[in-house]
Amino acid sequence: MELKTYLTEVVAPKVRGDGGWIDVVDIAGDTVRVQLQGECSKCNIAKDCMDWICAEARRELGREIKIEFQRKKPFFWDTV
Amino acid sequence: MAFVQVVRRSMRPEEYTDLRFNWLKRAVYDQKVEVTDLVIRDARQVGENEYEYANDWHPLRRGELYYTPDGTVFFKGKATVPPELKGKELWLSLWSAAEVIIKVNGKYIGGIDPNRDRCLLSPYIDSDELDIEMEGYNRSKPDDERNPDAMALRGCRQVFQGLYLATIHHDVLDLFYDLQLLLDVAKSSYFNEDYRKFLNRELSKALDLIDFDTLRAGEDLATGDMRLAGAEQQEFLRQVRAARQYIADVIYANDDFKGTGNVALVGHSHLDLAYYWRLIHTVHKNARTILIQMRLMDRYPDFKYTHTQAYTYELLEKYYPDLFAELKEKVAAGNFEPVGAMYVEPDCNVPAAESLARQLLYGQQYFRKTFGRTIRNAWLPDVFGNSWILPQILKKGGVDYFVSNKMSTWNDTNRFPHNNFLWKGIDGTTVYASVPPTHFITWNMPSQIQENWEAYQDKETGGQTLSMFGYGDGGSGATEEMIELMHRFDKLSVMPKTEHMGAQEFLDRNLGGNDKLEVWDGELYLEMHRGTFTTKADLKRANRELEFALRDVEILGVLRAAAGEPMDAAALRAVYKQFLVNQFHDILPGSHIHPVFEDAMENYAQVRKALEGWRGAGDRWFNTLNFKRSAPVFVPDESGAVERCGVRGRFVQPDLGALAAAETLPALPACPGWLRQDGLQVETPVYRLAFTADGSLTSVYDKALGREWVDGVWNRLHIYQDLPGTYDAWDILPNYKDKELTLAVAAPLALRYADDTMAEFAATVATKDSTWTRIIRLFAQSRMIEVENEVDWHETHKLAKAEFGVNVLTRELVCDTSAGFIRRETHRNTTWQQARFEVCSHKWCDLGETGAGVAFVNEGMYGVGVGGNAVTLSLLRATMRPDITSDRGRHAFCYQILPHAGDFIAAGINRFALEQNVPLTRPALPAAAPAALQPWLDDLAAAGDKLVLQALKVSEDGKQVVARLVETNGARGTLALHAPVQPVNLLEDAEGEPTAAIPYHPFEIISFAWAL
Repeated sequence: MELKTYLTEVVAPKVRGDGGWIDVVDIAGDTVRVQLQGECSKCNIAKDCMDWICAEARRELGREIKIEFQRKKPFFWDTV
Repeated sequence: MAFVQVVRRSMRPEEYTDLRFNWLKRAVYDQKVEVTDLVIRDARQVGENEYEYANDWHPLRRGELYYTPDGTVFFKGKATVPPELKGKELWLSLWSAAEVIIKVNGKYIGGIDPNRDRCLLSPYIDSDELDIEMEGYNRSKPDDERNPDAMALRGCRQVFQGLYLATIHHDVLDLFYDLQLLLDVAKSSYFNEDYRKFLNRELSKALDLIDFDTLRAGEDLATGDMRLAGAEQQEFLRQVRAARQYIADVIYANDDFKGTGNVALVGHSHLDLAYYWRLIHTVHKNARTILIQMRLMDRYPDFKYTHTQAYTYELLEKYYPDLFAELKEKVAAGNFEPVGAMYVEPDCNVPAAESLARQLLYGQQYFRKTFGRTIRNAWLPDVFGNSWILPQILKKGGVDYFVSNKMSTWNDTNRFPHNNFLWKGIDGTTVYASVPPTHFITWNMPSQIQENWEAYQDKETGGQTLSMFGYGDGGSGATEEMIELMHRFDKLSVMPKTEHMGAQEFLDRNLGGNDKLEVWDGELYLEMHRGTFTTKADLKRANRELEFALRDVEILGVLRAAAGEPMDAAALRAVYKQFLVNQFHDILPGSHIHPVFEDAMENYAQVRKALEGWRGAGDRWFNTLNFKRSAPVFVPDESGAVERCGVRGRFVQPDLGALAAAETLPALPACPGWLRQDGLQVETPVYRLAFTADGSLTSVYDKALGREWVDGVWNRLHIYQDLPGTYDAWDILPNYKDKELTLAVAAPLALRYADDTMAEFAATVATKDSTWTRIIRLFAQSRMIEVENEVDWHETHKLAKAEFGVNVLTRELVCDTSAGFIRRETHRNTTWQQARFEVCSHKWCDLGETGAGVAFVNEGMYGVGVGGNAVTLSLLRATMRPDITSDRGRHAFCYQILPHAGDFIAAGINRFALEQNVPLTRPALPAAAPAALQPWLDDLAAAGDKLVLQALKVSEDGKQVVARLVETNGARGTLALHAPVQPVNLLEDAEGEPTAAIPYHPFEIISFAWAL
């Protein structure tokens, strides 16, 4: 499975089940840039979750990836 | 002189007391032995009892990360009770944000969730060899954001804190609960200031009896636990007992400060069937909640707990039969109380009368079958306002009492004036009502109970006030500490008198037969969550469509049953229930995460498919309405000239009798040359209209009535900034009109189709991200104007409305409730009208004056803005929480505008709206209507000018036909039938003697049965 397909069709639905949202912005080599919305946008442990996604990609796709993430909070959580 | 605010930098005595309280919390455990032989398996729940597994069993060690987004973890562990713990009261301890059901040696011993970290083990095991099985479900957003412990643990990845066999120091735990109780009072401004000073002083003195230096020296730096051994431990425990004794002698014994009040404490757990989780997760959440509450009953025989929603009992019975058997025992013993009567806790704005009736029918059916009782209360603590039609429906569904909290705790403008009262419904039926003064989720703290009493407005007439306790929204319920605190309340003279009891006991004792209760006559409008009439428009449209589709199929079922071809009743009931579940108050209102929306749409698709299967295909058009159809309507036809909402077809003008069939439908009357157009000026035989390029109308001159209908503008599309904040999907703020987008005209109004009967004009407007085409249909021989909307919607935080300023002098908007009408003031004289700026309206609303008016008919939109002589139809929203995709994408929907002579009753607006909402179809009818049924159909048809056929169904026992009619015009009369029938209630119980003449009063729903 393509990495982007894997992220959008396998990983993202799981995140949505948690009230979160993850969009793949781009993939350059092994570096994936994602945007976190919904509950993910204010998550305290987003780094741990990204590490899990990397581990899943390694386990299921045999790929080593690195994830860079940005948060896009709705206005009512954008307090800092 | 400049004022310098002094910030105290040294520790206050109260802060030192808090510190010591928290140290004691860490000293509760006596011994803890870690369970290290532990393996887990990561999974994701994909069905009610289906899982996809991510891996095989693998070890889990303390400190490791576990759980994954939307993840379930299965655990297996083995342990041997070590010699030092043998014979002692043994607990299993796990600190986790997840929701865990625990089985040991094949028995359900309890549950753990963010609100509790241990469950008692020893009474449920008979061996020192422990075989542990656990299932945990974890979400990044804990059930209850009110619990700081839970919030500290949030996250879809969790650090495993270790699973332990443990014993506890009961002396320390008891002191901890004493302190929790007293510190809550000490910190609460609801209590007497002098008493709080006394408490702060004496609590500090009590804690001075404990050597905390020695205790802190025993801290396990890895876990934070504080544990002493040997003589030091014995001395510590002696000090703890001394502190407890001091509290008993000095604080509990003090009665210088007297509280007042009388508060009933009812344990419950609010369980949203879907919200930040999917329906499938409720299987586990419900079982965990019930298991935990039953284990509390084991330990505290006086503890009573209430649990709603027949659907949740069905789930437990299906998937956890062992727990269900135990639950039945607890119900029989009086500890576990089924409440709520309904199948689920539905939204009580959008569902129509028959849906609410079915919530009761199928809910009560289950409770009767399973527990042998009819539930006499509706327990709807969290619903977003309550339709005026409810009292009658409740009463006829076996329910005498209504309970709902939000009007008292969430109203943004007015203080709802009653807590225990009589609620008088649209038809004059009254039910006893409790709108408790405080939130439905409390943790039974003295301050919450005192707050409840102080806020209680019916102190002189209502008896006790109701305080619910227990964690929710996703289940969980009462905790050990809530019960422990409750057992201490009578030691505190400063508190109101409290009494723990069941829900029905509270209602019977305080409301039942209480002739002092004040009366609230009207809807229970919630001054909040006004967006839920509109959010997730697809759900609302599907709900409306399927409500009528279910009605139609049941009518077909009667025809076929009478012809000896009965439908599969069990299958039809299952489909109905599937539909009803999706009326849950965080599904249909749109306040949920995206997967819940996907599930609901899939459910609706399944219901639609099943109904279409039953409907079948025939060659005759069948009118399921009990009056003659004559309004122009659209019917699908592949050779038709019109495309409407993506369906090709044609408009017809049926001339089709009530409950009758016809092979053909007359076309609309032709009128060659009927349409004249001069730019944006259009003239028809009915109207002279002035359009603007964007599809709005600045003039609609009625040629027959000789009057102008427009005051301002009609059909003006507004897209407002919509920023309600955190409660995004729920709320529309009163200032929503403050900022509005400028819409560009992408395609100016132009004629796109015309024939001898009708014409279509289309205009498209656009924002940077969205396009919106309005197709305005005019008819040669009908007063109806139809507006179809084709929308490609990609906005964020926007509210789309269509504005209609009507040239009438009125101070009322009349709205359909689905079973009668309600008049709402359109002026803003008082805060009550000001707060009611957005209301829920069913199929139609009408602005009129003596002799004429304009009706606005919809096919599944419920939000209407009210003000002066204008209405705004709420069309679409674009909220971000809980679902960032809410309502984005393509939409196609219609509404109809019907200027009329006479008032809305004389103009038959309700009938017209029914004709627009009940599609004409060609179902597979029996070859010939059974002769025995025809006289009954004739009776129903004859009643059609006075009563609307709400339902016609085969009775639940399969032996009768049940007809349900509703009076919608506010009139009184008597229904005459050709032969006697048996009047029944909504539960299909016989009521009264058979009769061929049934009197009815305004807005009454009447049901009766005859033998099939």
